[in-house]
Amino acid sequence: MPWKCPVCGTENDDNVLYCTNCGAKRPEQVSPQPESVSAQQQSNTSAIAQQVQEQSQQPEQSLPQQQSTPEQSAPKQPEQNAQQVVVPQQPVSVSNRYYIIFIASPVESLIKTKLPLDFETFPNISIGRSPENVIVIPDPAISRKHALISLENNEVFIEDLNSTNGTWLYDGKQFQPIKSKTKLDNNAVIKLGNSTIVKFVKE
Amino acid sequence: MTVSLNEFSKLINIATDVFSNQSSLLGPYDFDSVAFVGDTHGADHITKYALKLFESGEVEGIVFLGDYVDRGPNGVENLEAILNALLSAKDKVIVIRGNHESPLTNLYYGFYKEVLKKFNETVYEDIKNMFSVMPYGAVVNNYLCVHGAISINMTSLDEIKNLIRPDEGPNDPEAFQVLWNDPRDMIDGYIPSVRGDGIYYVGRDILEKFIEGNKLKGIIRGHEAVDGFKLFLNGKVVTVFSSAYHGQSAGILEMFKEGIKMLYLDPTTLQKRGEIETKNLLEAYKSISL
Repeated sequence: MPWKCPVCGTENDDNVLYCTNCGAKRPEQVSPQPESVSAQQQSNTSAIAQQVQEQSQQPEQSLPQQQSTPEQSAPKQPEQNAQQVVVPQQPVSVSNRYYIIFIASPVESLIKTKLPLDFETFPNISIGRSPENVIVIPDPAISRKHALISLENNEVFIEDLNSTNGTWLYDGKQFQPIKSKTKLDNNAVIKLGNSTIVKFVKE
Repeated sequence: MTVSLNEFSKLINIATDVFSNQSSLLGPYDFDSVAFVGDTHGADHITKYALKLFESGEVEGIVFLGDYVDRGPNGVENLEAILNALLSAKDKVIVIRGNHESPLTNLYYGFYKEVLKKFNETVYEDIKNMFSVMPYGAVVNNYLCVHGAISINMTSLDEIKNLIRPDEGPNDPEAFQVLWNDPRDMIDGYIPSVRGDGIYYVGRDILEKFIEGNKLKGIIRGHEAVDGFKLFLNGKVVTVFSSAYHGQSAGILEMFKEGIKMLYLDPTTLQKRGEIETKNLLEAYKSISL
C-alpha cells in the first residue's frame, strides 16, 4: 500500500523503502513517533532561537551572538531530516542543556547574556577573538584561539589553547590557571584572559 | 569656562564643610518625586538637564550617584553645577562619592590635568580634600544609593554609616568596596573583580540578604557604563549611567509615588531616545527582559 513520507509528505509507492523525494526511511507502521520527535526537535530549535532573542534585549548587541547565532541555528535545518530517520532507534532522552553566562566583559552589553553551548552541532566549541571560532568574544585580552569546550560522556571539559593571558577556573577563593583539560562542574566560574568572566551552567 | 579661581575655591571650601557635617550615610529621605543621576564624568550638560527637572519642580529631590569628574572634559563645570545645587538645597540635593572622587583615578583619567590646566595644584589639593569627606551612600525612598555596591561582608546599613572620613583613597577596604564593587545576580557569594585587587562582584545571596535584612526596596547605583540602565535581581538592583563618553544613552531614573519613569537621552543632543513608564522597577525589569 502506498505510504506518505512522514518528513516531506510525498506519496510513495508500496515497493520503495525510502522516500523518492527526500530519502527518509519508510516508517515500519504508521506511527506517531516520528512526528512527536520532530515536534520536540522543533521546540528545541525554537527554544535556542528564543534564547538568542532574549539576549538581544539591548539594541546594540555585540559580535558573539551575531556571529554565533546563524552558525548555530543554520546547520540544524538540513540535519533535521536525516535525524528524524535515525532518532527513533536512539533513546529519546531529554539531554542536558549547557550555557555560559557573561559575568564580566569589556563589552558591557554582553553582561548577563546567556549563550547556549550547542554540542549537537559543535561537539568541540572553540572560543576566541577571531571569527573562525564557534564563540567569538570581542576582548583584546583574549587570544585568537583561546580555549576549547567539549562534551564527552555527558561531562563537559575545558582546555586552554596555549592562550597568551590564560584560562582560569575559580576555586572559591581565587582564579587558578587551567593547565590541562579540566572538567567543568555546574556553576563553574571561568576567566578567559584578563577581562572576561563567564559562568558555566547545566540545566 | 565661566567660574573664576576664587569663586571655585570658595565653592569647594563651603561644600567641604557641608560634607564634613553630613553623615557617611545620608537620610533616610522620603520624596514624593525624586530623580537619580548616575555617573556623569565631566558631562555637565547632562547634569544641567537633570537639574532642570529639579529646579522646575518636576521632582522634589535629586540624587547624584558619584563619578562627576574624569573621562569627560568638563569635570570642573560639572562639579560647579552639582555643588551649587547642593548648597541651594542641602536636604533635597543628595551628592555621594564615586570611585572617581579620588586621586587614585584623577591622576590617570584626566581630572587632575584638567584642574592644572584651568586652575592650579592648590585647587586640586582642595578638591581632593573635599572628595575625602564626601558621604558614601544615602537611603532614599527606601532604596540604598551607593556608587558601586555594598562590600562582600556588609549586612547592615550601619556599617556604611560608621565608615570613617576623611579617607583619601579611600583606604578602608569596606569604603573602597562600596565605591568599586559591582552587583551580579547570576552568582552566589562573591568573586574577585577584573577591576583590580580588593574589588569584587557581589552575588545574589549577599545582595538579597542585605536588602531584606535592612528592610530596603533595593539598591540604586552607577559605576558601570551601561546603555542608560541595567536591572538585576528582578529590578531590585538598578544601575543608572548618565554620561556621554561611552556613546550610548544617558539614563535618568525618576521615581514618583505612582510609578517610575526611565529616561534614555541622546548623550550629545539630549533628545529623548526612549522612555519607559511603569508602576515599579519589577515591571520595568519584566518589560526590559522581554
